[in-house]
Amino acid sequence: MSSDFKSLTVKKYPRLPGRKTAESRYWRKFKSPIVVKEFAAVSSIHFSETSPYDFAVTASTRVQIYSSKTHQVKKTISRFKDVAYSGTIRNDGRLVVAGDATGLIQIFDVGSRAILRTFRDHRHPVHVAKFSSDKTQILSASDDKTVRIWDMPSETPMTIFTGHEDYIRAGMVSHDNPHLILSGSYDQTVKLWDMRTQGCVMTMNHGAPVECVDMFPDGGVVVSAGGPHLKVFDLLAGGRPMHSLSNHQKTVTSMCFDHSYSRLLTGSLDHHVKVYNVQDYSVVHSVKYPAPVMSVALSPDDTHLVAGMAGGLLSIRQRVVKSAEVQTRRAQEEQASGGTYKFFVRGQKTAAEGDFIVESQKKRRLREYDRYLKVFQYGNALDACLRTNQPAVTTVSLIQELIHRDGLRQALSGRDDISLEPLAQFLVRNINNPRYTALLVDVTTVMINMYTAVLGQSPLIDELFMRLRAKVKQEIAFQKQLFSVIGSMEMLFAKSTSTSVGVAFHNELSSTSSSSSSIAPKTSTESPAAPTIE
Amino acid sequence: MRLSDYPVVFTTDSNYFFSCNAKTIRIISVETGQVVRILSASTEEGGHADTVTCVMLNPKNSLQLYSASLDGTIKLWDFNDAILLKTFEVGTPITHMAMHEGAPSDVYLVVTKKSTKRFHKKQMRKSGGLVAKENSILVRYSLKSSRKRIIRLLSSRSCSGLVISSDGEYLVMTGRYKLHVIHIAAGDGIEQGAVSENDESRFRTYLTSNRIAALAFHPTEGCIATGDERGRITLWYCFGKNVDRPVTTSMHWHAHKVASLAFTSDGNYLLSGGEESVLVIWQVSTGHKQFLPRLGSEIKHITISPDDALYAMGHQDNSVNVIRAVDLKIKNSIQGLKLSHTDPINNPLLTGLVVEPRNGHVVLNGLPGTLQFYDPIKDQHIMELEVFPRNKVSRTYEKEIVAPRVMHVAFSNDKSGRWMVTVDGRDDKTTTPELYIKFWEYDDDSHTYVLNTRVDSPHKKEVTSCIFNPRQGNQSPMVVTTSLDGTFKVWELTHQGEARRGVEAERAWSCRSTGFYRDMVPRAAGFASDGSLLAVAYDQIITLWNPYLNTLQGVLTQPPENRPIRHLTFLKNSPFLIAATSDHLYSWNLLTCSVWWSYQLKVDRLVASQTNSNFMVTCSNRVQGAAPQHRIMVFKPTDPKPVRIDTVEKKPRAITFMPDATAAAKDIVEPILIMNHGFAFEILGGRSVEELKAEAEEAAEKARVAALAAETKKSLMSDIFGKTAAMDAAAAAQDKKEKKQQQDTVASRGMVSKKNMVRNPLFDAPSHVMAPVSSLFEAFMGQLLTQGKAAKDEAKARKKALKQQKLEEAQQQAGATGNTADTAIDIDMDDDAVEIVGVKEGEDDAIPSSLAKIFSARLSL
Repeated sequence: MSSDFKSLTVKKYPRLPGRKTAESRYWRKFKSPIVVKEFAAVSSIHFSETSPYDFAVTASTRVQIYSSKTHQVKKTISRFKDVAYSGTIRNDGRLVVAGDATGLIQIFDVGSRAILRTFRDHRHPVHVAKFSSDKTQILSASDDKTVRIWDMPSETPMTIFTGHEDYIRAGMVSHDNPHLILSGSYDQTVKLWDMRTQGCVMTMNHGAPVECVDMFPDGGVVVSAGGPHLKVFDLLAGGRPMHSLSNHQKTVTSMCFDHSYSRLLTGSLDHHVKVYNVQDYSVVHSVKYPAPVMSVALSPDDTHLVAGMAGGLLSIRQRVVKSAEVQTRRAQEEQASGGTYKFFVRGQKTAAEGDFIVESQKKRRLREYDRYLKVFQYGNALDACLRTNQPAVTTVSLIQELIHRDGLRQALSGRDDISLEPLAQFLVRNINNPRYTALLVDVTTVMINMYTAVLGQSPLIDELFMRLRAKVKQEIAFQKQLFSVIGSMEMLFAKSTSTSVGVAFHNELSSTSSSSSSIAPKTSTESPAAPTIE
Repeated sequence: MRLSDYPVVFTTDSNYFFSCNAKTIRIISVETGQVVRILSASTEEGGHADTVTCVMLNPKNSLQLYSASLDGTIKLWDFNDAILLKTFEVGTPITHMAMHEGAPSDVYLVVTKKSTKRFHKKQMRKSGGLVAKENSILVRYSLKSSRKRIIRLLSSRSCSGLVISSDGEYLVMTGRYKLHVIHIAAGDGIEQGAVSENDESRFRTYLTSNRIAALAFHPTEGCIATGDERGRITLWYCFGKNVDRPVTTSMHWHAHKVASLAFTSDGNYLLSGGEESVLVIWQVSTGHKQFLPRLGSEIKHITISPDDALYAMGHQDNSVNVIRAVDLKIKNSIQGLKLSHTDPINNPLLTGLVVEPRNGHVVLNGLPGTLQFYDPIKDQHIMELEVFPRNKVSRTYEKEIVAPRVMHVAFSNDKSGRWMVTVDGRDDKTTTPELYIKFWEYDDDSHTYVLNTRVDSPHKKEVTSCIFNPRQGNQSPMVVTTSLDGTFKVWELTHQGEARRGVEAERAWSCRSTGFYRDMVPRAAGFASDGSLLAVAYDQIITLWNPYLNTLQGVLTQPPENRPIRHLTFLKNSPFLIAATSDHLYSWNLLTCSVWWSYQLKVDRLVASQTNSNFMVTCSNRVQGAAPQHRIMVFKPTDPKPVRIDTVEKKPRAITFMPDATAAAKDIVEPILIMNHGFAFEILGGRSVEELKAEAEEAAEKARVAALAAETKKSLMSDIFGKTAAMDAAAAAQDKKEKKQQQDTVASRGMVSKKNMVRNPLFDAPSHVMAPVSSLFEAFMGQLLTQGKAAKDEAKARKKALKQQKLEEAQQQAGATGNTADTAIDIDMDDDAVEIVGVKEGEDDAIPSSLAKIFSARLSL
């Protein structure tokens, strides 16, 4: 028997609706932005797909490799004579490709920064230079209205797609099929090319100059951005537009997906980065930046959100990952795949019948205030709770527990000005919180009864008592005002015909003004029971 | 069950203990906690006529038991066969008993007698007979009939303990502030009756400053331990040289009364317990303490088993905990109805008796802040649920700590009782009163209710009623609470927050709407059985609402006088609404919106049946000059003439209908469950009470057998040499029997578990250590083929059954069926079922043979 000590149950209050969603809480975790100043507008940001997820930032004539760990420049590649575009790291993290305004495309080794290959066929600026999902090929698209696929070893173009009627500023190779190439142009179309047929297989009309295109990894759905619009096309249905979104005020310049392709991020010249849920393409969060956003990227492990801006600012936001998340991710990665030895012996570590399992008993660690509660040192428990910066609700729960144990007086008694100060501070801070008011008024009454006799001996406590008084006075005045508002509104409602609305409103007000509201009827959309006055 | 009124006594082998339980004595197995046998089961068959206060093993024969009772008798029992051997008439209520093996025919008793002092008589008259001053008189009673039976030794007031030293020399008795030590073995002066309390060589009395509450005698030394009201334990060394000036040692840890003391048999340790619910183990020589805290309830009695391996503690909450001495872990906990032992003023039965729909158990207040689930038929504790979780702490000051109360409990109406709602709170009159509504969901894994939502101060004042919407189906559940603050609130289950990837949205209850009617106070509410209509009684007016649209449907007003309606209920499957004020009972017909009938009656409680449209009321008629009559009446909604009337002596504490499916089908009155004034359950009427009892009896018997079987304790022999062949055989036979039973039950349900067939250890091994597929193939296919055969047989049997069914129908159509023919067909079909089972069993045998083939194949490789 001898049941375990029940540690303090901290009260849980209902979350108030409309404040924060889980989604926004998640995106808010990308915090403490580091801002780096580059020479000119950051036109492209690309993350390496291999750990440690370094990223290439293209600005002015340089491509810089930043470290995700230190957020410092690791390598600077400045071998272009004109403005460079589209610095991209290959998926093994060893090569970088970039084009420039003269039409030059160069491949560099990340480690040594040496130029490995040079492609010179384009005569106009190359805004797109990317590695194909086939490792030996690269894709380029230029203002000369062509899309080219290059063979890296031989430095020769394998295929040249012509068909766009204006500058091509967006392009990519399908993830699951290296033969399929997507390109977006200022002629307001998105085209799908097939290397096998050597021609365009599908043309989709975006309705504005296309700045950026992307595709889901299974190759079924295409997203294009251009002007202030975002369009989603279904390739399997022959390029049928599925969604058209215009959540931005100005041109959308860049897009990226998160690790699991469940969220889409768009950066726009209106200084915002917006996050969409790809199930219904609703905006779930939005981040504001100080300058027009030119490029945005999210690291493959969903820990870094990097945005490049027109003024040359580069903002790096980092999310600190909890160890639990790391573990689940690792477990996912380590899941035995079929055909391996690990796969065959999986699950055989479980105890066989008749095995005796020695269970280790984990010792429960109690919090400091719980340890004091356990030995009935109520005063110390309260001090511990106030000292360790617990949230107010914990302290309130502790005080409630002390009342249950008939130990509030014991906890408050025998204090000098130094030891009484934290409690008085707490009361001053929280006495007008409607959730705690009833309880804290009780505590204040006890405290005042105990310590009025010694008032005037310590300036510290005197000042706190004065502040407490002022706060209570202010709150009472506020409540009075509220009641007079309610009263006048009730008169208006009594005149109006719809009584049920009146009651609904009445509820809402009373719950805001009542000292401790429950799971309030604030959320009630239906009108509450209508009174019938006969 | 009253388990912990008096200390328990262990048998010599420490496998069972005896517990005095009102007029009966229960023998309870330590191993299983089940009642193995009941002594003194009925007064007619020679049992005690009043509470048994003391039991004691016969020092001459450890298979016999002496029991003493307030009815003034001592009885000797053979407890193995539950036979009464002898009855000794003492004549006065016995409260304590002691005897020693050195003089097995002498019993020392403490009997009580009303005080004859004038002062006490006067006091008694003043208090209305409540404070009866009773004298405790110590007597020696001789079990041999040849001698003078009763010899009076001394008289004292409110005796708190009586023990004999282990050598039989001294008898110690405590009464209030006095400790009496009597030298009983010195000569035979007592025989002659030549003893007087002033004989200093025999009688010694020591005075203490505090009232003595507990007493124990050291088993090896001349030392007495007493515990007093202030929590001090005193060891008295008052023998030999120290007779006149006893040496005392005091040990003080307890803050409150020491309720019980016990020495281990070697005398090295002393156990003490009291109101703090902490068992303290003192090392007598050093005073070193060891604690076992948070035992749940105040300790009243401590008993140590003869082999020193177990400590049994009787608790204030009507439970007995048996603790292993080695690791101080609980071995078994036997619990009775908790409510019966707590203070009825601080912890009244507010919830009444609520029948839980899942298992038909009764739910009621347990200890303050908890609910107890109880099986009234088997008289068995099922579960305790902490509604108001807290660490029980004992009071610091004289004033008791105000405990929380559970006011209402209700269950959702679906079969499984998925949801439970409770209303609890705490009001200490100085701080802001707390009030909570808590919504609990049944958790299938832990088989208990788990808190889903807690709503702090849902109403500004006390909640008067709390009901579930009884509608069936998949709609989200709904609860309505009414309160003295003038409002009623409708609560519904809603989804909080959005569903995340893979995780369902959190479900929580929230208030959907609030209703009020003029400035009146709702005191009762009821839902129509299809959930479409909500009735709320505001003072003397009944308002009818649509709970979904929040619209007022109608208002019923009848009673002209200013009497608020206190009880209100709809009846199942009928358009009648029953309302009760303090002196009238009304039956409203909602089809005509008029009072169908009314009855002038002082209604205490109103309970509607869950299965049919009957309802019952309890009422008390106070006739001038006569004792009040308490009646339980069952009505049909259409008729003011009661279907059934029962009269009980004292006001019942709570009543409810026992759920009974057959009663619903036949539309007869269900059995009525009453909790009588003495907190015992009674069942009235109903067709199936005897059956229920018999069933419960049968189950209890089964449990008893199981308990006995479980107790074939390991002997040293079996520890060293393993199980004997005989034991193995017995176990095997038992196993076989159980298996057979299981199969029978499975077969009777018409399902044969496929699992048995597929279970094959062959495929458990990794593939690289298995025999090649070519050698496995034949055996495997063979197995499949036998299955095919079985399936064919089954199909055949089914066909046959179908044919017979057709035949039966044809016969019925022909109108030439007799009962005999029907039964004949039934039997036939049963045979078929058995046949199928037979085939399956054969198949199980077939698998090993195919395995053998595989293994031989592997060997040949």
